[in-house]
Amino acid sequence: MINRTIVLQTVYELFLQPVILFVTIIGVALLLFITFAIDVQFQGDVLLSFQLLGVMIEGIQAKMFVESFLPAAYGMTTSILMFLLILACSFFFSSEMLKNPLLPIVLTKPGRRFTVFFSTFVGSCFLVLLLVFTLTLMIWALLYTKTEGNVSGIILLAGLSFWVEFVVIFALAALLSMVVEHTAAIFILVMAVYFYLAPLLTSSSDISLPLLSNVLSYLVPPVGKITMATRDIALSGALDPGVYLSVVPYLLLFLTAAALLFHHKELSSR
Amino acid sequence: MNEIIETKEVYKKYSSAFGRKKVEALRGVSLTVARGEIVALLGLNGAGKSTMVKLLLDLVRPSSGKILLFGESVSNQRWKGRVGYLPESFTAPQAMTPQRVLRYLGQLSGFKGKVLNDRIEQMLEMLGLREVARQKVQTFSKGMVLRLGIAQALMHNPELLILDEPTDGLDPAGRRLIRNMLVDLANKGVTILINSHLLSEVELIAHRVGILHKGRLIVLGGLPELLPQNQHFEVETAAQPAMNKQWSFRPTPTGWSCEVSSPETLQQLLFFLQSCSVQVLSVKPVQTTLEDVFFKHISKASDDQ
Repeated sequence: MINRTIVLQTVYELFLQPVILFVTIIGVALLLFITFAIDVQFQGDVLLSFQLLGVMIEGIQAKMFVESFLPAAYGMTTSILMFLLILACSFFFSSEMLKNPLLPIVLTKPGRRFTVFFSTFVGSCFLVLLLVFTLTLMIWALLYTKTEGNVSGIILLAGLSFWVEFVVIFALAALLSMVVEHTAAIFILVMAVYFYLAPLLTSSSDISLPLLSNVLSYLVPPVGKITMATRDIALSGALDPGVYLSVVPYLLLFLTAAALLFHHKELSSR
Repeated sequence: MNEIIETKEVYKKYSSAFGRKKVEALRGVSLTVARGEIVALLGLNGAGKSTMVKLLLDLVRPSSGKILLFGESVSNQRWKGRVGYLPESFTAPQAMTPQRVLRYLGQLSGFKGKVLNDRIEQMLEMLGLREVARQKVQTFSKGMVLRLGIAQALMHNPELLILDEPTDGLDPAGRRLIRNMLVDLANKGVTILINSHLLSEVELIAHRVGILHKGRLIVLGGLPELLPQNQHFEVETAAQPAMNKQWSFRPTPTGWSCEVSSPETLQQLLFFLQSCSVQVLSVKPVQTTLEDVFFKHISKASDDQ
């Protein structure tokens, strides 16, 4: 079902996408920020002071500041990263995979269309996993050094959780790219699901139309819950496996539908 | 089994979104291509040539009709790996080198290790790409990209080659190289189907030619049938004869010319010119070209519709 050659080729081609370069730049900027702009002092497990861009906050105020600052900073960073990754991958899947000049030739090689589809998907996810894991690992290593070992290794799980969130959204982008021809439309739809519908449905009482809310709650994957779960892991180390299980049916449904559509897709209009 | 390609009454309709508008790209095309044959499909833009190729490779599906490759339905995919394909306007991802393109597609064809490396070297050498093997495709001219396209199509020793515009964009040396290569492959038993606009190129290598017009295969035949050895002659004279009502002369840059359709009429014309004391500059046989045949059939088909 998975062809290693296509997986590696996908990693190579996706890595050359300009948006991946932006993701790398943001990652490096984040690492530099942690290195030079933040200083944290601990005594045992007790936070003594927190210094941000030269402004020092001490004692109980430091603890309160960290509790409000970190979620905001974390939320902002992951949002930007996810925005860029969705941009890169939805564009890659629709523009590069379906319009890749080598695709018609690849489809004349031995192997099934399902293999081409799943290998491309796995290759894209693998590259994003590498990027996210490397970035998380480096952030953890820096924080570990700065806080003299007061950062739990569970933060690495937050990176993995963030990746799961990406995989679900990417599967949706792959499905949309099989039915919608315009790349910009795919991007806007995925963005609407990730940044608007998913958070809205997570706090479903905010929706004034109950019927629409019910319909959408079945159609839209609960990635908003994973966003919250990811933040919980990063900030408090709390892990709720049930949240991840809830997205599995959506992931399977999106991938199966996308693979079937790709299998029957005519590769050229006229 | 001698027939490598066999299509029977193939129809293809393209529908726009929600099926509002339908375009008939192919209308009842039946074609057979035997092992070792070079068959060229000719046609104006939009005639259905590329659709035909895509149908043969299962990249698009027929609305009705039957398509067999190597004696089996194209949809069962058993032909995969036995066909080399050069798509129309071939290009590769711009950041890739020829070596990487060939490695990737070679691996997908099942080559590995030393066999793969040797085959890549052989293809680069054969298509004159060795010196640019490590340069990115984005630096290539159209002709070099096309050479790479042909290299990938030949990489896995295919039994059937399907080439969409294989010499369009090549310089004369490149065209001759590809032409000789294709004739050589056909002599070794490789079947070749070519889509081309370059009628003069096709005339040099094809065993049979098909002309597609508005989705119909209006002509299919061998070059000897399509290009009969006619006995037309063109007589060029220094001046137009006076008192002439029988012969039709037209001006040329160097004088006047008249075309006759048999040796007997040529003789009559020459007597006439002698009697008028008109100087004959030249007498040349006129050959029918594939271009003449092409436009004759296209024009006839358009009149019939």
